[in-house]
Amino acid sequence: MSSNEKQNVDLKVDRRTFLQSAAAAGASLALSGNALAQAVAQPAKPATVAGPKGIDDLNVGVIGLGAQGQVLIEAASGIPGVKFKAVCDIWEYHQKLVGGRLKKTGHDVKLYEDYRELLAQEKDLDAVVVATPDWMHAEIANACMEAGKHVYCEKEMSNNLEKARSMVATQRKTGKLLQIGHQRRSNPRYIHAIDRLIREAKLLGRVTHAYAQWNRSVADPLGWPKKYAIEQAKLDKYGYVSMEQFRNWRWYKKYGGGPIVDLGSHQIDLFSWLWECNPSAIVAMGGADYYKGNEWYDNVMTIYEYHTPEGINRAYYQVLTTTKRGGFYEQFMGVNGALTISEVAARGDTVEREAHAPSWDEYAKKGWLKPVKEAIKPTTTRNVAVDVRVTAEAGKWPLPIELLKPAHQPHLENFFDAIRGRAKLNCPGEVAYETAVAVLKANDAVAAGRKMEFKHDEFKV
Amino acid sequence: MTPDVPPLHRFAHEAMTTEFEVVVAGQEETYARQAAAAVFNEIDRLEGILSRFQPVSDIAQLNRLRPGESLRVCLEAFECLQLAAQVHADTGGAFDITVGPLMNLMRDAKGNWQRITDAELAVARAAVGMERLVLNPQDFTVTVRPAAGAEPSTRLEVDLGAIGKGYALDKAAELLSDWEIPDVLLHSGTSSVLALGNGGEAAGCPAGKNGWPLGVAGDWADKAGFDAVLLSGAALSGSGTEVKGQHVLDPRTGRPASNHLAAWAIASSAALSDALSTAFMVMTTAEVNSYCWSHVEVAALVVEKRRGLLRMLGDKATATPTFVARALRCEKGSSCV
Repeated sequence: MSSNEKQNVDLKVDRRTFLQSAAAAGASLALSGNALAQAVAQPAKPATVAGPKGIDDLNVGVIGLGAQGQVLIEAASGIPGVKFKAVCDIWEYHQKLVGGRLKKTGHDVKLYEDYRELLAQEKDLDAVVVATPDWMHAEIANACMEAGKHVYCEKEMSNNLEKARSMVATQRKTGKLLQIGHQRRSNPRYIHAIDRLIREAKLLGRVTHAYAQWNRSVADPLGWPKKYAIEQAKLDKYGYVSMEQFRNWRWYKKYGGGPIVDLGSHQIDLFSWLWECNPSAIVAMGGADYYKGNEWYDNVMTIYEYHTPEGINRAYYQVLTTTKRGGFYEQFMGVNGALTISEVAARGDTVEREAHAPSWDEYAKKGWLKPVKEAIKPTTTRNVAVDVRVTAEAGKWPLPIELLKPAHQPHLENFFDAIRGRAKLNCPGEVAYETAVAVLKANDAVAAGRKMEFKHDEFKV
Repeated sequence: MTPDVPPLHRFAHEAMTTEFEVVVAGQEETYARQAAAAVFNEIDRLEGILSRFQPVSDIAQLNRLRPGESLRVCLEAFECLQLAAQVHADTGGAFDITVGPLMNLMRDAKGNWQRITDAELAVARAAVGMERLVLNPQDFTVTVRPAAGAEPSTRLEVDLGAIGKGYALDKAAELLSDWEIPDVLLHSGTSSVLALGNGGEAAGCPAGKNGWPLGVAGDWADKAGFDAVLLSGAALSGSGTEVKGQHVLDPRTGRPASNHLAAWAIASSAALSDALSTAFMVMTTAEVNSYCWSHVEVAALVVEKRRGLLRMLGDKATATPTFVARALRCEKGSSCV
């Protein structure tokens, strides 16, 4: 009998005992607990999310627990010192999902349906993250700041500029921090590309044009589990016409700004960062052409004009929701080269040099670019005027910086560090307001069917 | 199939380098489609957490830790690691999510196994192993221990490839229970299947029975005496050498596994069946049987290549009684899934 077979026989005997104890007290748990003891060591450090508050700890509430609220909670989970204390959503289902996950990971978190109740009960919050549908941002963010909380609010500030202005006004009045969720503003890859390579090193020369797009596949409307449908009286109380509109609010004018705002805002925001000025004019076309019953435009193509000290530069932007062709990325095109970047590095992470541009070797030496071999080297060995062959292709230089954490994490870190007095906000309300003005005008321009001008003071609060 | 049999609704989605499918019985089409979309969103979310190929996932971040460093991971990553540690312990080390570097060392660029010396192997083995992973359930941190006997800066390479897809199916099932869809089958590229409720006549379920018929035993159906099992409220995973070549390494020896040509595991969760089908490939038949004796919710079918004189009898299929109890014989041309 081999040792394995012997073990087998022994186990058969054991099994009887096993079954008896299983009946008594859940033996599979006892077995696995034993097994786990080998892999699970003593705590390396005490629990941090539920224990007493340390000097760098921040008590955080989250209002709005849909897809974006969940992304932000996940991104913030990796940041030391963040203690989730309260989460709020009018939908019980999202309270259950998100609250359950947070409680399981040790956060001592209370669940709320109404943000007013949360603010009335939770006196010890340092900050609130707001990720509700856009039309509620201003009311909630303002109430939070009035209650003495710092606020991280998702973009777009609002689907209504008057409401967006009220957020800047409340911020000024209360002195609280207001960070808006244009998270590329804190992304080290974008900071390197725009601040260092384009603006400081002038690697691309004058950037005469920019292009960006966000294309998505056709998608069905979002549904909901039948037993978690919100009763009509509650929908009425919170201002939603129907469960269908509550789930698909992004397509309705009352609650949101449509795809150009949901997706385009992140990227159109980069144009004014890049050129350090707001647009002067816009033309746009688009429409609610594919999806039946949706109010907002499912495709928008727009051209912005920027009057910079160097001259007029233009940016083309498209958002399509019926094809994912090309995905999402941004491209900054200058006389000496073009930089392609995407929040997902695999979709864009290079600078292409034009053949006539000054050498970039010094930037490679400094580590500002990853060195590459130029695709075509000038011919030096043959005594000819021109070596005739295939078209010279510009070399592609990869960007040297990787972001090794979730895309929203650095922007949240910037916000929390600003609360601790160690950083300046990368996207305060005033800056995001300018972007909101630029982006919301795209919808106006589609509706008007003509070129529209921006007035300089339109961007100021 | 008669025309008045309610149809199944099938929805597919690419994720985790495979194609997931949700097969819904007894529901209206639009509702089933919306539920499937919610499932696929959840699977994409989990891929973002669990995939070592996504540079910002918890697992990729874990793999960049220097020995001695810790990382707070989210619930889902922690649960996978915890289950992996448990299966590792329960199988005497036959399942190990950290042995990827050994595989790389042993296989050339084309995936062929190459000879390495015992000395080379000893160095490589010192750097891997589940015991380097310290899980702290108090605060959901994971710490990577320095490797004893290896270069002190050696990192750990965690790969949830043999557990993550099954885990995603379990999470999808939780979500579908919110949607009150009791009769549904989910699978990840057919390597792991979670069958809930009853597929009914449209799924080929025999009259008077309850469940989903699932093809099993592959080329060895005649040896096993059946070519399908009927499953309900359980998961089935298969592992074998026929799809990707001989791709399993025995973590206990550091050498390619040679015990089984194929293995199937039935368990109460897809994460567990996923992990066990991999472990059963490298465990001996006796070890597999003994595991199933002590874990009554687990059933196994393994195929071994017989050696010596017995070789002329051909491969041998061995199933635990609990596996045989679920067996079906599908007629040719019948609609077993």
